[in-house]
Amino acid sequence: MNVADTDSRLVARARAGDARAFEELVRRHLRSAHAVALGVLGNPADAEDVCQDAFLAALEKLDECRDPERFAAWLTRIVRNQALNFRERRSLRQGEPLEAAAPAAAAADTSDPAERSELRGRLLAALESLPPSQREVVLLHDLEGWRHREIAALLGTSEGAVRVRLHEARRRLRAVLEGETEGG
Amino acid sequence: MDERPIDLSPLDPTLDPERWERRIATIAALASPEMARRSMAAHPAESPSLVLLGWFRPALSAAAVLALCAGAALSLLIQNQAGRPEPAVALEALRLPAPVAQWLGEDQPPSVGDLALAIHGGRGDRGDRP
Repeated sequence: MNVADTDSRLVARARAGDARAFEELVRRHLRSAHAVALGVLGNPADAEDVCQDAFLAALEKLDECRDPERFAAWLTRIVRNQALNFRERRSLRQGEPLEAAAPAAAAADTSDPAERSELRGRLLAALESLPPSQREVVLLHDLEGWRHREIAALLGTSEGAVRVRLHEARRRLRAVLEGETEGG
Repeated sequence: MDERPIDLSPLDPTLDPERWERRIATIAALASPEMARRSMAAHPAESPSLVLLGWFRPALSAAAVLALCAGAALSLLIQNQAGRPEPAVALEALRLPAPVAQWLGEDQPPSVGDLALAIHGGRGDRGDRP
């Protein structure tokens, strides 16, 4: 089954008000949307909120999706823009510089039972230590299995830059997870 | 370059299926007003406002026909009243004797003979008793 073609049909049905088609689109793309939002924000709870808002925003302007076969890419851009806006608002509220905006509540969020696991908590804490530009790359590549080319297209950068960010993100994560202290 | 991926699978949000399904259901529920709007736009016959609009058109036509008929009837009534006032109606309501009503209707004063005839006739109407 060609997933892109199916997405196209689902988009057409959702445009006509088919609620099941829209729910299927959510089911298919929420996971990658979550990874994108988590990469920008670092906080699972904030990522959930942003994903929710992004899907609703996408639905409202579904008629503007010129190429329904590329719905996933279109949606991902919406998610990322919403996450960037969210991060900016959060930074303004907290008075923090954008790159340093740390998701302080990430490790404290106990609403998700899986998050109570030690490994998950350690991973989230390690991800917090990364700059968002590296966090996005490592989540999309190592969690969602995106290719360098796809990540580069989303971020508007080169594949080489993506490889460099991925390498640096992995190095930092390993250092944090192994309990090492990193100076830079 | 570090080519070894980090195992980030514990961060997979679908590891908690119940919570994951709730998230999907929440988004779907929040989207339902917009889906309903789209459905109505795509199927106009099912739109309540358009159904009412469909009823409005024949109702408007019927109202126009009724207004036309009422206008015509009113126009005829006005013509009748303007062209032919009918004092006979008022005279009949007063229950006057026929000769008196005739004098009033013709707007002519009665002669002495007419008066005498009317008086005798009136007596006759009462049974001719002196």
